[in-house]
Amino acid sequence: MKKREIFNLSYLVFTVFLIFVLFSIPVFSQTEKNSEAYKDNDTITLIVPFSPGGGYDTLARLIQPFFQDEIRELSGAKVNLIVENVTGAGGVIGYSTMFRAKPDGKTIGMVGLQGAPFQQMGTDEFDLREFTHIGQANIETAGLMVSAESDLNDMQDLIDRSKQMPILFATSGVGAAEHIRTILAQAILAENGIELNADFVHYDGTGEAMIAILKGDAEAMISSAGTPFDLVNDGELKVISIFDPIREQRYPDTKAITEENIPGGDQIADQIFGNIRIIVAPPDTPEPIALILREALVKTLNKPEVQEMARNMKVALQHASAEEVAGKVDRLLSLVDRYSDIIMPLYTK
Amino acid sequence: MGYNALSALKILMQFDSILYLIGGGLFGMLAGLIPGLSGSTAIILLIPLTFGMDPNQAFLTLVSAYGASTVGGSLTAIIIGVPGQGKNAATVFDGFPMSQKGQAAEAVGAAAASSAYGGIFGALVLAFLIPVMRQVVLLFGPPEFLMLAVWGLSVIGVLTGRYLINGLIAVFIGLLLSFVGFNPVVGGIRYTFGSMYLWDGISMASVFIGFFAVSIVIDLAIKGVPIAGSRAKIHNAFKKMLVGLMAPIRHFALFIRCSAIGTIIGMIPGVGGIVAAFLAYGHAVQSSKDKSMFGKGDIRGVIGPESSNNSSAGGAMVPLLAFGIPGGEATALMLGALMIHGISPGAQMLKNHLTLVWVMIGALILSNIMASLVAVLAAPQLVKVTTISPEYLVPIILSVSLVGSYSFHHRMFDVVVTVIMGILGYILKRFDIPTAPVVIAYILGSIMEKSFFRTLQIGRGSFMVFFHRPIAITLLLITTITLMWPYVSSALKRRRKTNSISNKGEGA
Repeated sequence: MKKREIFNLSYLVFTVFLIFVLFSIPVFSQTEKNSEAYKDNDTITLIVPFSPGGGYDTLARLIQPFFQDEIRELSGAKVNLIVENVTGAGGVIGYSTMFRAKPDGKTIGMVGLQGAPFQQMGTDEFDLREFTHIGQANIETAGLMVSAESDLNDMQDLIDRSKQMPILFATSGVGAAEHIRTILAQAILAENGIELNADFVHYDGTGEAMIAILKGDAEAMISSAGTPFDLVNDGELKVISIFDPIREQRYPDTKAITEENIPGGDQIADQIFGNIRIIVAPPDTPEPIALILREALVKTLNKPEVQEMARNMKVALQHASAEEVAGKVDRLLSLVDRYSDIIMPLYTK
Repeated sequence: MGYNALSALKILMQFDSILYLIGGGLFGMLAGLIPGLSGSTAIILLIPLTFGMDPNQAFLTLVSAYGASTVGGSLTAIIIGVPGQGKNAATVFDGFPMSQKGQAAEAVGAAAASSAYGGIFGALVLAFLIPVMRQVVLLFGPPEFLMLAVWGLSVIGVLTGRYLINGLIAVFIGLLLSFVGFNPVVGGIRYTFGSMYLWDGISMASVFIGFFAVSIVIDLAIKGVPIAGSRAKIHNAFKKMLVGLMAPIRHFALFIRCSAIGTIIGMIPGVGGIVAAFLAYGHAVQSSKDKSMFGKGDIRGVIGPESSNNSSAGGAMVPLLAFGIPGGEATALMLGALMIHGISPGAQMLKNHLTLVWVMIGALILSNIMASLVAVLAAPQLVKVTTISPEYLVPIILSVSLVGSYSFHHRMFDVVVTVIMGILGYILKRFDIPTAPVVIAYILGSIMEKSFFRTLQIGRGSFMVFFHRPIAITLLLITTITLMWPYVSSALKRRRKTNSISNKGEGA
């Protein structure tokens, strides 16, 4: 390079350096200590580990204004609650961010228990037991969907067909919730002497996976019960089994798996679910703050306007307390532990 | 259906609708213009504002932002060589060289016109497909995507520039970049060096902003002269732009084909405007007799991608409205917005909310026209940017681009990766390794790999599945023919020459 070019290049490097410095200033600036839980104009960030427009995001934005009002009322401070999407690594980046945030009440997050316990074991980036739990916001059962034209009409049909040729399951990715649910179901059935043979096609999202079933490229998927609702209404798909002791309101003709008396069916109904979304705060969040958040959450979920909007958006709200959530977390983590030899390979290949 | 279309027209002609259309459109255009922001960003920001509106007005605002954003992105792609958003990347390949030759105004004119007409094409196709939407979406699956990706990669052959080996190196680098991360089809983490942030691969934003913005900035800074050359003056910008406006009409057949490519590709969920633009660019190159000017400022290299990426917006709304399954990021957001307004896309929506569907189609058409008009009016002034000294241009482009790369995940990590990509891009330039194949390979590489493995999974390990997929086989044939054609036609020519010589001999 000519002398002039080197000269110009050094100016460029200097400019880049300057920009980096300017970005770093906020990192080094001091923050004040709080004496009360919240002060006026505090901003609480609710981290959503998935992209805008998806189920988590919709739920978060649905409750955001009401949650904000309840926190304001309970804390006496005019706080702002904003939703921020921190995506990546299937949610792990968001979980990791929530886990490492300062426990000052200014960061909370939404976690999905259908994936998080497995991701915890696989990546070691956070620990569900150490989060300060605020409460559960929604819960849904798992359902088995097939094309409306399929010959399969219940779980027993699926198992029987799989003996001739493995059932081709669609998922939204290796290690994604649909994949895990299927492998778990297989393991539970195997423990009870039943063989369910499965092959997999992994797509980039549940939407693509459902299209695959419509096309006939895949045969079945075990998803959250609400996922295929619109397509079931359109007559394109049908849900042939609900992994729960009781039938699902939205699909009154679909058998609950426990009705079929399949060995292991009760266990599947107990341990495999669609989704459970909880709100958490970073570990060691002070009690006064946690109390405010917990009570605000309960009140928000009980509000008639929230419940009505949720019904319109077909989101199944259901509250559970922090203690109940901690219990579920423990049970799930021991489940993951028990089946770790079939689950871990998915994350560590 | 006609009744719904008419009521939609009435709604669109209302005063407040027009305001929302213009406001949403301008906002979308601005978001498309700024590297790092995109039409999706505009939609995210606009959705809360639409909560209180009635669905018709809410969606005409959002769709307007969506439609206009691509035009905004083309402006920066041409004038400073930095695509405003991913789907304008292919426009840089010939748009920026035109800028460097002082022809920015003509390029902007061509881009604006192609965008407007292409957008209208896509919207009209959307309208016509309403009765058969569902069947069309179901035509495509992994085997077809695989063949599309192969076709796209085959295009690289004509873009290698002087030395074939340089082109191959470019392809390999692009493929390598695409392999980074966790592969969701077969599992396995590659080249992440233990960092969670690379789990999803090197983000497209980092590659685009880095390769285009940062490496151009480095180039400008080192050379020290304005984009259009050291003694460039822009004369008659307006007249030149008018010439550009007629370009899609002059190359009408190409424009139609590229719009069709864009609409079809846009319909495929998971693949989007970016791929549509690249495939259209590739087609423009492959289908022209004189390929020599491509990469150096051939106006067909602007018409192709710009008509395709705008028509893909119409295509992307097909799976959204037919099944409630989004075609890409922007339509995923619209899905969320539809749900918030209590509307379930799918057959129900086509039955109960047909007027809204027409409003969205109308908004798509009108926003494309409006954005192109704005681009055309602003062009004569905007192109003067190509004469600005780098002292001013470099810091602005650099800071806006780096902030843009930060804006996705609010992580400095992304900014660092962008800078590294920029340095890589500059090194490649210095070694005469062409950028287009790198970017194309990066995008199509992962699609090709994933589709390949998914096809095998569908076939449960066997390739026989291809024999039941007529569309995939047709695409493969088209690719083979397009690749073989140059050789076949020159062989035929030689035979004809030899025959005519021998004929002459005999007849004499």
